[in-house]
Amino acid sequence: VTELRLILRLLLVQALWNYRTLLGAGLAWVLAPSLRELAGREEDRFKEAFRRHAEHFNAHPYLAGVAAGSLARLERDGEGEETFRRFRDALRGPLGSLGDGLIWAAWLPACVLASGVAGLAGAPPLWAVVGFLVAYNLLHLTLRWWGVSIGLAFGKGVGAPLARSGLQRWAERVGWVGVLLLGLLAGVTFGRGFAASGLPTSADVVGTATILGLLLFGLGLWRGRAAWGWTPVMLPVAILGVLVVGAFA
Amino acid sequence: MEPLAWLLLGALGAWAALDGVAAGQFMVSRPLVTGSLTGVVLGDPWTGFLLGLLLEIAHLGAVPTGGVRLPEPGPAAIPAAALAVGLGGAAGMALGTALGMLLALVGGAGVVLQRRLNGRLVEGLEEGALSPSALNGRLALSLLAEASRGVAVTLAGLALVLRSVPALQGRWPLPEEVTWAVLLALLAYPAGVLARSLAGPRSRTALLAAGGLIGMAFGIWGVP
Repeated sequence: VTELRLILRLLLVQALWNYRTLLGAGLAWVLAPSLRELAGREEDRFKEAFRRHAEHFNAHPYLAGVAAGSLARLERDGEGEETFRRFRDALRGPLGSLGDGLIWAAWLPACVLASGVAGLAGAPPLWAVVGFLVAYNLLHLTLRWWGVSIGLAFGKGVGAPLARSGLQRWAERVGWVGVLLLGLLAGVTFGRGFAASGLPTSADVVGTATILGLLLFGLGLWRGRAAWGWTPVMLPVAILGVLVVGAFA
Repeated sequence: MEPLAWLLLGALGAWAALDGVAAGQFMVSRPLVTGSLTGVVLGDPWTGFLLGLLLEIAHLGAVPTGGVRLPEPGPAAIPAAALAVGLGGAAGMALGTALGMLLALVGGAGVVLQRRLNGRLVEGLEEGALSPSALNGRLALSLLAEASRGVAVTLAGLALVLRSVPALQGRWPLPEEVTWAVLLALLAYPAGVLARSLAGPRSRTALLAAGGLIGMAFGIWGVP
């Protein structure tokens, strides 16, 4: 019951995400029923435990279950204030970087790109999207369940199963698949273009745009995320610029 | 647009805003999903899917670590897909991408405001001044604000699209083929950023080349 309740509540762990306590308020809300159960009729004990878990904390949302499960176990074991503080501090970094590396930087792009390739290869768009949602959430929900399970089972010693899980190695492998899919997507797009209108040359506009595209791809590859900052502004401005220039030309 | 379409797309906007950070994160909030579903509602799933894919390429390289401020492309993809469907062709796709990216910036600013609001809603919690039972109400309020934000961006964007489609019809200056080439060339930049974030330099080059060659063969000779 505790496990299921934690997993369900964890779906809203980021609902109160804020710049002061980050995930802290959400984590306290997730743990509240477990804390209430442990405290019984001792209202002060419940409030004190609740306040303790509302302090500043952060983790990847899918791995926050590791923290929630472990903290619930530590509460059950009757650990002291200092242990909680140290444990939360120790867990924060790894749970953030492991989740970010595996999910945001690898699994999500790989699933989106796979869906894109499937769509361009002729799969009905809706099926490609459903496939994306099913594949993505298979790992998503497994991670949430696994995190809570190992947290509750290992408590303070949760670092060991986390290290054994090899999440970092998986992130690397999924990243390889992602980059292969990106190449595939680009290849299919260019291949279709060539098939429809022949090989572009530097003398025509399409050829010039192709060369520009290769240069821009190289620039993005070289600079990486450091250069991403202005992309959301510059790209639409460039597209609208074409419209404006064309309208006056 | 039919009232039912407004209702469905508004609800999708609310769901996308909630799913983005606050509730579930099942990735219904990805532009690929919201764009495609918009296409389904408006009778052109393929255009919605393609527009969503272009917006994905533009945004996938940005990783939402910690409190970093990023655009919110999910709800934005709804009016963007509506514009792409309304105008049709490469012009619709180019202008839809531009609108989607600009609205994603508006959505991103809304996320920052939402986080500040959340900070005020949980004020005093760490000091024990806010009771645990009161937190349930604050959480519901936060979710309501989040959903309203999504509805606002979606419906305002759709209203803008409905007004601008007649004015933009036939105004796009470039031929179909050139428009695609320019659009894809511009999107190559965020695609490069994405490639770098996916893998290290040693494996990256070989995998990109392998994927590119296989994809090109499929693109030219067709998928078996």
